[in-house]
Amino acid sequence: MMHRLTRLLPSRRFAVYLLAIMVAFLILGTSLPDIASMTPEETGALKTSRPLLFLISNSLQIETLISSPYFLVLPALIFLSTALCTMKRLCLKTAGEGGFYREAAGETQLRYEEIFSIFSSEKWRVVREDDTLKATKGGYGFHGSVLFHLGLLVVFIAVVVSSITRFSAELLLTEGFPMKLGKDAFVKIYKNRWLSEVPSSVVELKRFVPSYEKGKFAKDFSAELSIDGARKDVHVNKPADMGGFQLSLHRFGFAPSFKVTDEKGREVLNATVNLVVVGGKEDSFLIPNTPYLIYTEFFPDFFYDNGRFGSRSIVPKNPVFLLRMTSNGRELGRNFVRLGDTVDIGGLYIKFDALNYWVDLIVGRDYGLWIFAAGFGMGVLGLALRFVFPDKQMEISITGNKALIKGWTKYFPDFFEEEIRRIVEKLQNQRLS
Amino acid sequence: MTLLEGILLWSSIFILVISFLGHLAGVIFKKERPVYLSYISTLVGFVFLSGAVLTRWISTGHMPVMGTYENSLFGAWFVMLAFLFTLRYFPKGRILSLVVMPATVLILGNGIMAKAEMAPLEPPYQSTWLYVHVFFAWFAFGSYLMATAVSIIYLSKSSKANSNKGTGAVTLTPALTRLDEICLKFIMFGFITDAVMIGAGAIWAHGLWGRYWGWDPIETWSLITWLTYGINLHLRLTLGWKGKKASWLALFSFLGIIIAFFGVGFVGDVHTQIMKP
Repeated sequence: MMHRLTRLLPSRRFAVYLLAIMVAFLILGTSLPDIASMTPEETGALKTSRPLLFLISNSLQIETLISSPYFLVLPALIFLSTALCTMKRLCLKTAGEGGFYREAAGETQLRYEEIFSIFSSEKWRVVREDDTLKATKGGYGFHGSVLFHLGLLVVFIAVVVSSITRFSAELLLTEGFPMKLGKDAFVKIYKNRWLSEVPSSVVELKRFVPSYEKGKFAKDFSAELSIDGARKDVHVNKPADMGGFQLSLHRFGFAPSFKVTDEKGREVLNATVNLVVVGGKEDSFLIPNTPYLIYTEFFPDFFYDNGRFGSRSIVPKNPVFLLRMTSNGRELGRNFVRLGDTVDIGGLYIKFDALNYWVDLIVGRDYGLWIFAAGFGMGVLGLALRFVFPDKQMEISITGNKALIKGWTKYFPDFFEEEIRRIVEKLQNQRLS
Repeated sequence: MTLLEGILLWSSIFILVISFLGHLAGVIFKKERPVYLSYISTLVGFVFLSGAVLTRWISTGHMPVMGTYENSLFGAWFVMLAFLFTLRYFPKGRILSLVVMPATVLILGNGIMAKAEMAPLEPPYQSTWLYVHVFFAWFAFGSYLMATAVSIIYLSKSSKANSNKGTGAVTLTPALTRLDEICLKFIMFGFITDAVMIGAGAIWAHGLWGRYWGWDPIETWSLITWLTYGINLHLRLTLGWKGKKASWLALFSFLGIIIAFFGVGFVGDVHTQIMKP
């Protein structure tokens, strides 16, 4: 049994089967309905109408699949198979058996020295051994193959390191509101295994600066942060460092300040609310201790013209909110409010006091990234060594005026045959000239 | 798009369609001349397409890598480049035009149907890794497309009896063994560039989203494609697969590329998510 297993695991056929099964699972995982992105109603409908599909989708969708211990057996076996195969190669010092033999003969009057220079000019490494010339090209196939497989193993190690040490969380900051970091400061913690202790820094979004072109294209988004008093700028694609943790600018939104008073002048709300209204979306906020829910729609560059209204551009030059007040699902009133103005809706006076921004930062640390990159680099280098410079050998012997070329190539025998024939022709033509 | 870009683009599409029809006529009527003339028109079409790419590049101020239209434009250009590069070393590969031309026109058609508004490079795209990622993605896709084209030619040629000794259209194609090796070369090249594409994308994603792999559908399909072509190589190089079954496998493997490329527009995932004002 053990003997069979040690033969099976490093075998290439077994590796192909494992890869094929993995591909099949991944295809299934991406093709089935994505339960995670469904609303509870949609999930319920699928569960009732097609229970089997629901069950399969639920257990095989990609996020569930990749963390399932049953599925993880596959990459573990691939790792084991690759490791054993690489060790076997290293022990036997072979990049796999096989290759192709071809030969061609022709007449020539050239001497060894002249043939030597012909081969050298075509980038062959040539040595003379008695009455034969030995020419080689490539010769890195073994190293390339080993490097590629080692690279794959390093990538596997990187994935394991990442899954053990990775920290990833979302941090929401509103302009002017400092936040002391800790586990409770995050909106959501995606990954937090070992080795991740978030520094207890005080982080504040000092300023968010969006930059636009022609009033409709985003050019740059930059968040000016203060981390324990020190200034750090984060741009999209240009993360900042915070004690070994990466801060990536992920999303932003508007955070207007509203002051709400009732008919008697009593203040019922004075707050900054983080709204998701970018791109014309509607968002809402609740007035505490009241049944009032206020829906908001944002017009960054408002215009009103004969009953038509909208935003001229995406740049907040003339910010206006359309507020719609509801109570228990019944609309009490609606009105536009410009920055600095106060409006009366359903008996409440709402002042649009200030317009700030909020940002959503991804706070992350991943020791696996550079191991992953190194593994990929090794893999690519290995592939290049193996495939771009394939191993070829030729033995040229001359008897009288007859030249015989015996060649071996790792790949592409048909091309190689043509190459040998071309060289033979060259030897003959040289004689003619 | 600008008027000049539009003229250049539509001209290139028109010429490429003519080129395809010329090749088709050559194969059907077993004549060499239409095939040769079509090759010349392919070159002219490529010049026009290059002009369209260049015009787009100059007018937007960045390499055309943003959105479906620009990706299709640039991608089609890369496919043509891969094809012409092949012809440089394989004049007999002109027959591949029967697959490459329709594929190129299809890619361009997919792009034209999308929004072609000229826009500056959005913040998430402002990364050096993007260029590495996109360049190598198209090198890989171009190579895989060529491998697919070769497989189709192989399969249609091998289905005819005594194909190696045939006349007419058959003589316009390389021998079966040569076709098999050409296909392998393209898969090898595609596999290497695909690996670079995935690696560069991972590093870019880490800077952008704080993680190098997110299992979004496009990432997963890239991995599926890479593994599938890895299986192709394993089977061909170590288990001796060749001929028809290897060609069928190469043909089916291209489905992953089609899903990864055309699927982008239909998947509202994090891969296509950008910070919109």
